Amino acid sequence: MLGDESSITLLSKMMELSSSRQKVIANNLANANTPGYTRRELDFESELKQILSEGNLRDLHNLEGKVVEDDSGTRRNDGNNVNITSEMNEMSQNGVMFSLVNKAFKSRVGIIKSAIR
Amino acid sequence: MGYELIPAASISSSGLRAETLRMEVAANNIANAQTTSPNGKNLYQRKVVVFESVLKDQFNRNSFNSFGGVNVKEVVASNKQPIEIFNPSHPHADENGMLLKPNISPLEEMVDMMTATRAYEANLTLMKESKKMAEKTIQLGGQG
Repeated sequence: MLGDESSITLLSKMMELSSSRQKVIANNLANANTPGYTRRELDFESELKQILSEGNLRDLHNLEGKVVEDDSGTRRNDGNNVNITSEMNEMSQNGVMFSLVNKAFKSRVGIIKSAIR
Repeated sequence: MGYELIPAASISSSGLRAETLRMEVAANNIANAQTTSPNGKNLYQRKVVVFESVLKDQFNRNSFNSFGGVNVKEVVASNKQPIEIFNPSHPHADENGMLLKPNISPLEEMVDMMTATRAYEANLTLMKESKKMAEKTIQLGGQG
């Protein structure tokens, strides 16, 4: 089955995680001026690494990523530690990762298609 | 809320809405910098917006699915004392010739406007980026 193709599963999961991360960054930016807000991050790399090293790709379906509060960076006087510049940086990194995974997905599907033909 | 085609569109738009309101409040403060009132009663006071973070699901605080962006909690009047100036010819002056004016500093309002503009731009850029992501996802269905 096409869905069992491991790289397809991995790539589509990566796209899903990337758009979840976009949500987290959007929430940080929307709260850039909310007093007392702590910026959040979506962490899935460690979990993904573990799944890939164990080789049990069935676990990929349950991978959602964890939202963690990030206390690093200086807090302003209003207790907020969101830095617009670093959020924009995170956003572009995430965008590039999404396009990369997207491209890889496309070429993978292309390979399968040409095999069918 | 239903299914969201563009990731984080509602979160970014909540940010845009909040920053617009902050801009409006700053503009209103500047517009009313010279507003006086008879004997200084009900004099205009500088308004300040207070933001709060929104969670759609309080029991699931650490899931990205419960993130709701930002909300304007309230617009409060600041407790700055009004400025008194001696202007006996003004119809709103009191019997000693003192006129009360709202204590609005153009500098403070300008800083507020600038930070609001920057935050607005940041939210907008993120929204555009999310839209690109959605477009790429849709194009996956086309020619591979």
